Amino acid sequence: MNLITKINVSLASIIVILLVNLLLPLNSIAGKVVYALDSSEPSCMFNNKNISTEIPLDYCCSEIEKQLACKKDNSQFRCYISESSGQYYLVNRQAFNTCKEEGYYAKIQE
Amino acid sequence: MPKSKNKINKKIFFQFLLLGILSLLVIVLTLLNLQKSMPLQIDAPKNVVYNQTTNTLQFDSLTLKQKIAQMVIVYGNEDNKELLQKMLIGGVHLGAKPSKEAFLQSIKTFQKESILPLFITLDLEGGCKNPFENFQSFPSAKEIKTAEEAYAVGYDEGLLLTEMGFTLNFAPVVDLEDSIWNCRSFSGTPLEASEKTASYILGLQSSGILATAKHYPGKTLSSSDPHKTLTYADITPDDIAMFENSIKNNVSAIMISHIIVKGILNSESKPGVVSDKLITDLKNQFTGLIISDEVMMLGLKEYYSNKDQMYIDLFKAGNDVVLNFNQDPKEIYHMISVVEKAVKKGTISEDLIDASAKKILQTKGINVE
Repeated sequence: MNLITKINVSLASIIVILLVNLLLPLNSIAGKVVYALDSSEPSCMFNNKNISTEIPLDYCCSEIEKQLACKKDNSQFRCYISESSGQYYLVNRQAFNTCKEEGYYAKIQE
Repeated sequence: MPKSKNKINKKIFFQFLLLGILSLLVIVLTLLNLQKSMPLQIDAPKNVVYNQTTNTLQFDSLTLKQKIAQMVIVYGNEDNKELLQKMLIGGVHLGAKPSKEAFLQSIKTFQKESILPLFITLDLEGGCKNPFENFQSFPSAKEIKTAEEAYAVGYDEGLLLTEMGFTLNFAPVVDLEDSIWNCRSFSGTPLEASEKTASYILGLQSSGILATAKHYPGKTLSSSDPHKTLTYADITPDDIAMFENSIKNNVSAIMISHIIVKGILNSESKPGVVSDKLITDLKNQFTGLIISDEVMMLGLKEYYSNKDQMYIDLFKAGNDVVLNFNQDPKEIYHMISVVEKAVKKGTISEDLIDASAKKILQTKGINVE
């Protein structure tokens, strides 16, 4: 392979990367791959003083955005206004990622 | 020239041609990527003629884009403050904060340097959804036993909200039943629930806060299937009576739900919030603010394959205020630009935008000339 061919192949590779980044930001690809591989059902539970009810994902995403923070709790996230409150949302990873995919933003407390 | 040499020259020529084309493509794509990653640039508006002393705004000094922006309430992320102020956004919605001081600071940050006052909104639904949980508790709507108690709770919530600088509360929930959270609706017979709703609205508004009856036309919190996003409901006279009674008691705003309704009202197989029939019929009996439920919700988004069309339909249907809690200011600006283009093309009536923008400004207490 001569030099020009090598340069052309490199340029073509750069074009592919630039195109992908233009249509789908590279920094979100890893997240999207993980999300796509996760086949579990999204689940969001609202806990009100030890009574737990399932919240439709639609409302769940909107509500967790309005909470003070979400804290990782085993394989799920606990989203709350007050950390000591009897009211909180328990959101599994798939639901949490779906909300993020839909453009909702939840503050994660480490 | 020998044939083989000619062939080699041709090959080299094509390799160089390809090199040129690929280099050009790399440059164009790099520029496009750079443009995409650049932060949104909006100039500070210098056209707005607003006299702060007399609180008077010359309506015609606003651009079409600014009038549309007045119709939008976004999620109050302080990082976006400057851009939102430059867009002349109508209001910000605040979520939970760790303390009263944090709320006060946030409200101050948003209102300061805003050319026109912003709506500062939240969902304070007593103890069921209480963003103030870290420093103040209230009973939930379900726990309220009498109409008198409902008035007192509304009044107390309103006093605190006014003191802190809020203007609009997205409460009360007027749906007769809440089978999801089980605490957001008033309890009792439809008549009892209706009386409590009216008293709560009177209490809240007596202390200076605009109340919002939600979610029109009802059954939003009882017909949702946790595994489905598009939801359907049959609306009964009892559902509507709750809103009629709220209107009779001068509720300032009504929030429209995403559910697809039939029965006594028909949204013509569309989510209520984009049904011009549903909203026009409501506007014939209610002159207050018509507010869309949050537009990122899947119950609306999944009805559309094209988000821009959804934005157009939301404004075209007659919503005065559109809630878009996407925290990317570029997306908010995109929505405003899409709607502006649709108005210029005649798809959305400019009179409709003008009427809503004026209604919003007047509700904020601004004298519009």
